[in-house]
Amino acid sequence: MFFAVVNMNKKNSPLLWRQSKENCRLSGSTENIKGAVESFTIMHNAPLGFENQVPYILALIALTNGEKVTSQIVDCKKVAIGMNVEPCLRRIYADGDDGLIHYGTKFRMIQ
Amino acid sequence: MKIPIIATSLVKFGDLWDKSINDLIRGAGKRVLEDAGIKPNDIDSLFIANEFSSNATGQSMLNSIAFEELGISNVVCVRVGDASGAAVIKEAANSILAGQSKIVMVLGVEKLTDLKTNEMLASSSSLISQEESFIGATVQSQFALITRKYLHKFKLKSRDLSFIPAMNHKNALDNEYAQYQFELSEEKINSSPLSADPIRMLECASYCDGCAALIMCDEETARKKFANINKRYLLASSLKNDFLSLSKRKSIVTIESSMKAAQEAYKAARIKPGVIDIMEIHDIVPISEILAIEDLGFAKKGEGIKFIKANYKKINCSGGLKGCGHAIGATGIRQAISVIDKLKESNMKYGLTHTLGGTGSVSVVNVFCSG
Repeated sequence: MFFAVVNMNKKNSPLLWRQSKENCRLSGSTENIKGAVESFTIMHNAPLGFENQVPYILALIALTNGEKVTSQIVDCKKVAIGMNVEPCLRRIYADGDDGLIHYGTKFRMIQ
Repeated sequence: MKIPIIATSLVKFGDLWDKSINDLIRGAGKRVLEDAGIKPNDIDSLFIANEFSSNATGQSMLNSIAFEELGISNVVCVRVGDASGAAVIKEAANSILAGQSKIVMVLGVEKLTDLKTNEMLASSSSLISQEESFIGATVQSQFALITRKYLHKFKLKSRDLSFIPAMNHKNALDNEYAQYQFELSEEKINSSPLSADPIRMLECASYCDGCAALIMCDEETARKKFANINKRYLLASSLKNDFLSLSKRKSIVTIESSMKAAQEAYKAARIKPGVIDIMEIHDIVPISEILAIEDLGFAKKGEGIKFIKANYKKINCSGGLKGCGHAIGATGIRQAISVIDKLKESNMKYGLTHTLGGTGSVSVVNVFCSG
């Protein structure tokens, strides 16, 4: 029996290249963008590719430029609604089979 | 619009290890034909609702499978996330209204238990936007963000929501087609492990296998051919979309697609929400049921919990997604059958089903009546 189990997070190089600008856009910005946590969750039940990161914090962040993003919050143990955060470039996950390492924007608390 | 529904059939939802997707289609399909007392040749078109067959079983082209198993030609497969089942009812109604078909079968099927849990989570991540799933978000995590915001806005505790799954389990006791026919206490729910904080494991509906089918026809055929059958009617069906990403929505504590779909459906059915006697709501997590009740116009924002507590006998009498299990493509049709059965066994007049896709990027509201 043939099972086509697709890892939705697994991306080939052209797709990754096409999306990389968007994924890293906020970390490379010169506008000095900051944000505030609008809502957050702590993930204990992770999808394929993120199992070794649990528990991780996901948040909906309202940015100073008016946009909103869903992203991870790193380097912090306690998170609260209203907390001020800034973007940083981080590794999202490493792809086991084809060796690609995926980078993107995560957020950290402003000290 | 008033479309007679002449036959229904349901396969008990659950972890159906011994059944393939072909078995499910054959089982529900043959039974609904028997129920209506017609032959496969009498069916003018068949609409199949399914979301994950290519991922979970390695088989797409369910239209051809349906031809092989049931002998029905003119089959299409429709994919609208969790709302597929509810959406095909609309498509079938459209086909009848356009005069293209006289007798139409709709069949929702899903076979998911061949996937492991984390594979299922990764597959279901395709129901949210790519930017969100790229960073490790799932359907559950997005609902957790909504839940946290709602709790914060209306100054509630997560414990205040756990009566909803408990209540739905209680309702499932009487439903022989439900996967979980047992009671689940609030203490047990509150002591289950966190899945996506503040949502706990036992608060979420679980994905399962299942199949549901029904047959609709135009009014003339119903009069001529099915005069003796005890019928119920589809009165309105409305589907609306919203942004896939939570970050693009104006407010995350309002599901705009539900609100717009409900308004359109009430207008088409010429009714007010107050006259609805019974409803099946998409309760994949407690917050989705609360938001739906508010967005469908039954309660003001922040008062959904109060309404559910006062009207628990009207809401999800079948056990909802929590009690029955969530066989994604089949769920919308299962909800419709639950409402139709309830309308048949009582003297209630109006019933409603509400089905979300993903985290509310699409909503379908169907209104049924008994005559």
